[in-house]
Amino acid sequence: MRDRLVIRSEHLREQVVCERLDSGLEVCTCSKPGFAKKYALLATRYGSNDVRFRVNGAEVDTPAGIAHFLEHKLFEEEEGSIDDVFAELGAYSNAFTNYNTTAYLFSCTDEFERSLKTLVDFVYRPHFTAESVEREKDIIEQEIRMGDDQPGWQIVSELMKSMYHAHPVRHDIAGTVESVRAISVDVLNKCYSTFYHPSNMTLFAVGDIEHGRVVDLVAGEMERFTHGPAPEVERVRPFEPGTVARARHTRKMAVSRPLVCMGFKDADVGYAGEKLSRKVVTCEILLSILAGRSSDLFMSMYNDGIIDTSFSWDYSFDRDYAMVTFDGRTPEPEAFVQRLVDGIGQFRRTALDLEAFERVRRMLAGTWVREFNSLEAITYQFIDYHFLDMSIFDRVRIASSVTEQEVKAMAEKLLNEPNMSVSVVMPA
Amino acid sequence: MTLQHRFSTTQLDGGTKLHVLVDNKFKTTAATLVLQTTLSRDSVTRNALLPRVIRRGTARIPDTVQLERRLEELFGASLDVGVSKKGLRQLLAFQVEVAEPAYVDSEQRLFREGMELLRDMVFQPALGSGGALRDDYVEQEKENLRRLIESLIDDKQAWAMRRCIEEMFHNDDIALFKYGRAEDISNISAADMKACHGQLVSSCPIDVFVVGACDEQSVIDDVTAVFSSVGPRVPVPPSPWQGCGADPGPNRPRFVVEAMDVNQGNLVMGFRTGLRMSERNWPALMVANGVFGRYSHSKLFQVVREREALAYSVWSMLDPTTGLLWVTAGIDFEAKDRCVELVQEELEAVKRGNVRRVELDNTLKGLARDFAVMADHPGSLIDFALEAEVNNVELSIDELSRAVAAVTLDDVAHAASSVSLDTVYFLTGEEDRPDEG
Repeated sequence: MRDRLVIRSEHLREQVVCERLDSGLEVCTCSKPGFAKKYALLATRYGSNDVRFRVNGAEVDTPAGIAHFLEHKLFEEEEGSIDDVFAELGAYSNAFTNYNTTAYLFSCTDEFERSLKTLVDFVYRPHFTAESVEREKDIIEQEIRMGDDQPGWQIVSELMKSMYHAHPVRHDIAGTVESVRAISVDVLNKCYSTFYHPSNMTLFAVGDIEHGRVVDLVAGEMERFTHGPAPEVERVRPFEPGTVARARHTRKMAVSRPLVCMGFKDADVGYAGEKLSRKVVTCEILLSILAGRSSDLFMSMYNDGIIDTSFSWDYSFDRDYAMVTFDGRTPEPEAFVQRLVDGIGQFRRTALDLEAFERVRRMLAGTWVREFNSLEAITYQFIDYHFLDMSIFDRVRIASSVTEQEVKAMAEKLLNEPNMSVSVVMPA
Repeated sequence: MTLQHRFSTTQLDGGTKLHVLVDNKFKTTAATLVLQTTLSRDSVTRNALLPRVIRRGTARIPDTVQLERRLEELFGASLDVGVSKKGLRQLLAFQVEVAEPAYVDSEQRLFREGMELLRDMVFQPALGSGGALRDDYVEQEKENLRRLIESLIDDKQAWAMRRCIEEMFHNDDIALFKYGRAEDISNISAADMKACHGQLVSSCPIDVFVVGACDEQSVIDDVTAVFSSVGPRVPVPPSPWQGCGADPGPNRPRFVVEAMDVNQGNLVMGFRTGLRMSERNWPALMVANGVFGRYSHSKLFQVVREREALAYSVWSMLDPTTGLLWVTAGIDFEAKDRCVELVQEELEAVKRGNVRRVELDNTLKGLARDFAVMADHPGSLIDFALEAEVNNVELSIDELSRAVAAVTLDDVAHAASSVSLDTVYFLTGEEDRPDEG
């Protein structure tokens, strides 16, 4: 009998059950009775950041965009695409790559079990040919060019290059047209054998499903493959200073009005698990009080026309990088930045508004409940958190124990002008 | 598989219809109030502005910050407004969503309190001098609406789509943007907005959809009680939709090329079908569109992307109310002619019935799945109910799903034969700018 780990939330009446198979693959499920859709995702801890690594002692340097390219090519079968098999099962299939994760997924209403087997089967049976690799380069070139015309994506891409001197997060997930041209079958095979060992991967299924049945099916399917011992992999990350690489970047595009994305680099990184969860929750509380819809700062900027409802903020994080961003459309980029900087200064100088602190914690509790209405939201949240050893159920408990001192300390440490960089897109 | 999920409808005093769907798999309850009016050049911009203005405050809580704080106290209740169009109808939607109290350890009646906010926003908005809507809110939201309309150009594919429909219908109201026209904005006054509000809430049909982990009777009681303070209304339904017509007319198809500073070309092809949701051939047309370009197993994706590697994104979609069919693709500037040719070839193949058994089967399975998963998405259920109403047809998702499942290859070819190309729009780069004149 394998060990089962049950992660539970009493107040949400939800649970996730996790179990590691003999092959090393981890299987986690969340049972949602009454939902029509069934959804499964097979993810590996491998993303666009993992371009340089040491495997069994030897260092490998790969082209930017390789994880994403591999994701595209894994769909290829000896005869056509695995999409054909999913389509015959009436399932919808897709995949995505981000900075740290590559994931393959399907959703269906019938034929869940055969679709699940298909998912496991195609991910563990790579088939790359030189000819199809070459053809895929044209398709990915169009994907990159599509992104080149999306101002919302360009502004973040430039901010990453501004915030980071050397960390690979400064490179676009899909790479560049040039870096993609350099990809070969050999390097795809190397990356596959390094990062697609089952012990580096998690399968998550959600819907009106039963944990034991999912585990049996996946375990049965995994028996068809022999995987050697897990390779010893070390991700090579260059030294990254705490400062930003450039304070400002402006570019012109065919847009109606300027767009601004202003970031604060978090130099206090290297965490996972409960410690990172606590940082994330504290930061959400901090930003909601500082610049949420109910804040005086948001409202005064809104009333003066500096921002509109396109304004948003975010804390994005991983083990070795993290940042706060404020972004939105504005007629006056300078005023956008200055008003936020002033508002942050004011926030740091004055005592925390305790009424707002309580109110925002209530608001977040309700917001976290809403996530559990959507199987997609549960899946994405689970994988993001799980890969950082965080629990999606801990947030309410953590929020109730965060102190006003922690919120103030985080503002002091994180929202500092020397860590700040601004990315602007101006109308051409 | 059948959908057990159906709205149960109650007629409230004053002409409002309440549709309730109880489903305990959800952890929130959402109420969506939809107000339907005629889409017309004269009123489209004011109607689009109204939800944004009245979202700013109610007579009881006139200050926006206070309203936001109230929502936070209700455990992050959301209060959202939106505008959409279906054929020649403009729909204004107002939604409140609250957590089920047990999940946030509360004994508050969150739904009742959320409903009161929704009612106050729609029927008793904050007023300023002379009984008009608040001037400061009107002016700020005019500016925000202008920015929203003008920002369409930031999304090149949406822009190309908008330009294509404008080229197809020119000055026809059917081509109006759901958010209205930037040039109308400056002349709108707070008094105009008060008149617009009065007219809409007194004469437009109102539907309230409630979906969530609620108790049906207590929802009916709450909504009835909350709406009892709303005076009697005399709803005047907008005229029934007559459809777009199948005939593109003389000198079609038209080809329009425009240049902008972009890295990728955006192709939009607009087709007429003359069919719509209410017609017997509609299920067959849905299947034809599925075979043609809705899925990644469809002909367009398989040929334009997988075989020819011309595009990353290439899809077709079908509008149930106008019956217009759209093809979009992001391609190299020089690939336009080849791509148009391939799209037309694949459409001809569907018309000839040149469809493999597996293409048809996979499409039928894909559509069956799409219908079934609507039960997990309250927004799609509401949208379907509204679509049926606008088209004046008594049709449930189950019925449409069954009709689609019975479609044969002959039906597909027959329905596809009604598809005719009206306009091809291509957004290209500056270096590829077409010759003037």
